[in-house]
Amino acid sequence: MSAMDVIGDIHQEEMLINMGPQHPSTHGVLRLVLRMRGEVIEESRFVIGYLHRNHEKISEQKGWIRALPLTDRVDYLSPITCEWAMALAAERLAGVEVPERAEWLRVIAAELYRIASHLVFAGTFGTDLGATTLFLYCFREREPILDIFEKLTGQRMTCHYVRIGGVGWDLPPGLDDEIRRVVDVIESRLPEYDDLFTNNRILRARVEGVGPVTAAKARAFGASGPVARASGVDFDLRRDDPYGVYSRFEFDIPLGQQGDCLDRFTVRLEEIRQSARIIRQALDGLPEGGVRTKLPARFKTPEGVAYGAVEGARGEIGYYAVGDGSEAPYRLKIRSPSFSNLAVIEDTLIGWKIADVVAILGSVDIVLGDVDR
Amino acid sequence: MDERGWLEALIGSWMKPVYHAAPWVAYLVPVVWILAIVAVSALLLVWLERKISADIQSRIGPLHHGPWGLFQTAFDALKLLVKEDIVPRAADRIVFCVAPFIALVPAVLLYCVIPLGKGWIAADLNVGLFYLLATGSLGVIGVILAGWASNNKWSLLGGMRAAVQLITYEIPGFLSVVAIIMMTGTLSMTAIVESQAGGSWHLWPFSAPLLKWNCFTIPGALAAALYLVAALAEVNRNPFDLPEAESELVSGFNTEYSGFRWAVFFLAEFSNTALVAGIATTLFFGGWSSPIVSRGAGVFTVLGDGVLWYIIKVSVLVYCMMWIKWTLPRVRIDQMLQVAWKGLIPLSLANMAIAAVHVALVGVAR
Amino acid sequence: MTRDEATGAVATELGGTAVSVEGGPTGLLVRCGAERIADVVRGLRDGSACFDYFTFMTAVDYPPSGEDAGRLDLHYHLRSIPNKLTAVVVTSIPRDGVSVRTVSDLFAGADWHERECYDLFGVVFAGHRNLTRILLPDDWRGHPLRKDYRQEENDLLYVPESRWPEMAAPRTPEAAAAAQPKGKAAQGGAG
Repeated sequence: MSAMDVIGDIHQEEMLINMGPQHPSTHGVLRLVLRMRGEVIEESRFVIGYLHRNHEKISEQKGWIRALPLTDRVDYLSPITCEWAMALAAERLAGVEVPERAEWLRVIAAELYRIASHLVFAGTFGTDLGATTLFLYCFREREPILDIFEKLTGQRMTCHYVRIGGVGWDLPPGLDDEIRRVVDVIESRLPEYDDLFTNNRILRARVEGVGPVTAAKARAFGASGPVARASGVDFDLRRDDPYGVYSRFEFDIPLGQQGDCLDRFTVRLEEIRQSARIIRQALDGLPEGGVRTKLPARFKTPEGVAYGAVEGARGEIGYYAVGDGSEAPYRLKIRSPSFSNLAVIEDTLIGWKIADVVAILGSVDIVLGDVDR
Repeated sequence: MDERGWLEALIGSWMKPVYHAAPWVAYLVPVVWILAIVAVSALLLVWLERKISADIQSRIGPLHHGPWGLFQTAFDALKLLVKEDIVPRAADRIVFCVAPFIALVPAVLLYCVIPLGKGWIAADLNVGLFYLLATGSLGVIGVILAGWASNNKWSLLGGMRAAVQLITYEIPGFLSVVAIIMMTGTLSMTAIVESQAGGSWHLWPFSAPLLKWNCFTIPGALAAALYLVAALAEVNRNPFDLPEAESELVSGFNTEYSGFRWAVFFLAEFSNTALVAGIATTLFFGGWSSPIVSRGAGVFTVLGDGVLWYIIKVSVLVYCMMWIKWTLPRVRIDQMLQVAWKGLIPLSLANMAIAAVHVALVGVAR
Repeated sequence: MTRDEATGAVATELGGTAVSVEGGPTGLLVRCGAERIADVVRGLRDGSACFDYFTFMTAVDYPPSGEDAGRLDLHYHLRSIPNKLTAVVVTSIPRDGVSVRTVSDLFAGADWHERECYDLFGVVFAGHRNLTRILLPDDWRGHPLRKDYRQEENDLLYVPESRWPEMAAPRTPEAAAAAQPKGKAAQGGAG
C-alpha cells in the first residue's frame, strides 16, 4: 500500500512522526515512533534506553552499602520506596532485624513521598492537557513536603533515607507537627482540584473513555500500582504481600472500573487521601526506640535468593537479589513498575489521536529512570 | 471640549504649518498612530498576561524591570531582536520568512476601522464591518504557510489544525455579527457605536446609555456570547489553542521559529486578542459610549463617552479571555469541530432568525 | 488457597513436566528443564493456583570456572492475584548456543522482559516476535550483565577516532593550508 491513500474524494496521507526523546510531554527521554494518518495513530513503537545507566551492574561492582544511595535515581519521584525495596532485599537475604521505630518512620517517609509523586503526576497531567494552572497548584502543595525532607535528610529529592537495617536519621523535634500540618493542608486542597479539573467538562471529554486497559491485559503485562488498580485489578502490595508494619494501618485501596485515563487520574487523587490517613495513624502510634540496627563494618550477604518488593507510587518496585557471601549482590534485578506499565500501552495508542497519546502517556505516569534503570 | 478637541488644540497649533508645507504628512499620522497602538497594546497585553496568569497561579510574575515589571516585555523584545537568525536548511526560505508578517498584517489593517473614541477612527469606511470580516480571515494564511514552510512534521500538524480551526470558527463569528447588522441596519462601525450611545433614561444631569448597548437585547446577547467563543478560537487561545498546543506539538506551527520572527507571531497573537476584544466592544458593548453618563455637565464630562470607556471595556474582556485561558484545559480537535458545527453554527443561524423577529418588533436602531 | 495447598496442586498438575516444586520462604519455587519452560509457565497460569500475573523475568550469569562449564539461570517470577501467592520458575541453560522458547505468547508482558534479557545477557528466545535490543543502542557490542563483559570494546565504538576517522587522519602541510578560511574577514571573525 502506498503512502497516498484515496478514500472517496478525500486524500489522506500517512506520516511517520517521531515524538521525543526531546518533547514536552513524554515525561523524560522517551521516544515514540508513530505512524499516523491525519491525526489518528495507526502504529506505535516505543524506543527506550536513553536513561539506561545499568544500575544492576553498578550494584554488583559497588556493593550493597555504596549502591544504596544510587537507588534513589531509579524512581526519582518516589525515591524512598526504591531505597526501601533494596534495603528489604538485603535484609531478607542477610536476616537483618529492623527496629520498630524505623519501620514506622519508613512508612511515614514513603507515604509522604507517595503524595508528592502523585502531586507531580496531577500537575504534569494538567499541563499535558492544557490546564497549566493545575501544575502550579500541585507544585505549591509539594514544596512543603520537600522542605520536610530537607529538614529530615538534608536533601529534597534523592534522600538516601532508608538504610539497610533501619533509616538514616530520627525525626528532629517539631517535624511531626509540621508533617501533620502539611498533610492537613494538602488534604484540604483536594476538593479544589476536583472542582476545577475532575468535574470540568472539557477535561472529562478529553480523558473519559480514552485509552482503556482491561484487567486481563493489565495482569498479563504485569502492570501494577494505580494503572492496574484503575483497570480493576485489586492488588496492592501493602495489603496483599505486606512488608514492614503496613498490616497495622487502616486504609482503603481505591479501584477503578474501566481503566481509562479518568480512572487513573481519580485513583491517584484518592490515594493521596489514603496516604494522608496512613501518615496520621503512623504519627499517632510512633513507638520509641532506635532507628537503625548496627551492621558489621563490612556488611556481607550470604548465599541465597531474596525478593524485596514495595508498593511504590507507580506500582510494584522490587529488587530480586542473589547473594554470594560477599559485600555486593551477585545479581540484583530491579523490577521496575514503569517498565511493565509502559509496555501495556504500546498498542493501546492505536486508533486514538495524537492529543490522546499525550493524555494516555501522561495518565500512566512513568518515570524514565524507572523504565531504563 | 471632547478629547479630540484637546488633542487638536495640543498638537494642531504646531502641526498646522507642517500640514501647509507638506499636506501628505496628514496621511502619515493615522499610519503611525495605528502602528503605535498595535505595538503598545501588544506590549501591555503580554505584561498583563504574565501578571494575570501569575495571580491565578499563586505566583507574582515580572517584578524587576520597571514598576510592577512593566518594562519586562520591552526588554524581552530587545532580547529577541538580537538572537541568532535561524532558518532550517530544508525550509522554504521565502515563505518561512514572510509567513509571520502575513499573520501580523491583518491585525494592523483591522485596527484602522475600530472606533476608539468619538471621531477617533483611522478610516471611517461606510462598509467598515464588511471590511473587518473580509480582512480578518487573512491571518489564517500566515499560520498555514508557517506550518508548511518549516519542513517539520510537527509544524505541519499545527498548521493543518490551524487551517481547520480558524476556517471553521470564521462561520459562527460572521453569522453572529450578521444579527448586529440586521439590528442596526448599517455596516459602518461608527454608526453601530453611535446607535448604542445616547440616553435611554434621564435623570439630570445624567442620561445613561447602558440599556441601549446591543448586548442588552436578546439577539445581541446571544450574538455576543457566540462571537466571544468564536473569537477565542480565532486568536488561538486556550481552550482552543490546538495549533500551538505546546504539550502535544512541541510548539505547533511555531516550532521552527526563533528570535524576532517568533516575536512577530507572538505580537500578532496578542494584537489579535486586543483586536477581537475591541471588535466585541464596538459591536456589542457600546464601543466608546459610557454606561454612566453620555451628556453631562462640568466635572461629569470625564465619566462621559470617550476613549477611556473603550479601554476599560477592552480591558475587562481581555481579562476574561486570559482568565479562561489559565483555567480551562484544551479541547481535542474533533471536540472543537463538534462544538463549532453542532453548537455554535446552528445557534448563530437561529440567532439570525431571532434578530429578524427583534427588528420586526422593535425596528431598526439608529 | 494457602501456599502449601498451592504447592501440592502445582506439583500434581505439572506432574511429569516439572523437575521439582518447593514451597520457598515466601512462595513457590519451581525448577524445571529449559525445554519445558513454556509448559511449566502455561501450567502455572492455567492451573488451579491461577498464577495469572507476570511480575518479571531475568537471568543470572555463572561463568565457567575450573571444571564447571558455566550456565545461565533464567528466573520467571509470577503472582497469583486471587490467592496472593508468588511463584518463581528457575531453569538453566548453557551460556552460548542454545535458545529458549519464548513465553511472550503466554504472557504479553514477557515480551519486553525477554528483550531486556537478550540485550543484557545474550539469551536468544525462539519464537519472539521482535528480539532486538531494547535498552542499549542497536550497534552495541557484547552483553553487559555477563560477568565476562568487556566495556573497552564499546568505548572504542564511540571515541572520535573510530567514528570519524577522516578527522583523526594526520594532515599534510598542504592540506592544512588549504583548509584555512580564506580572506582577512574570516581570519578576523574566527579570532
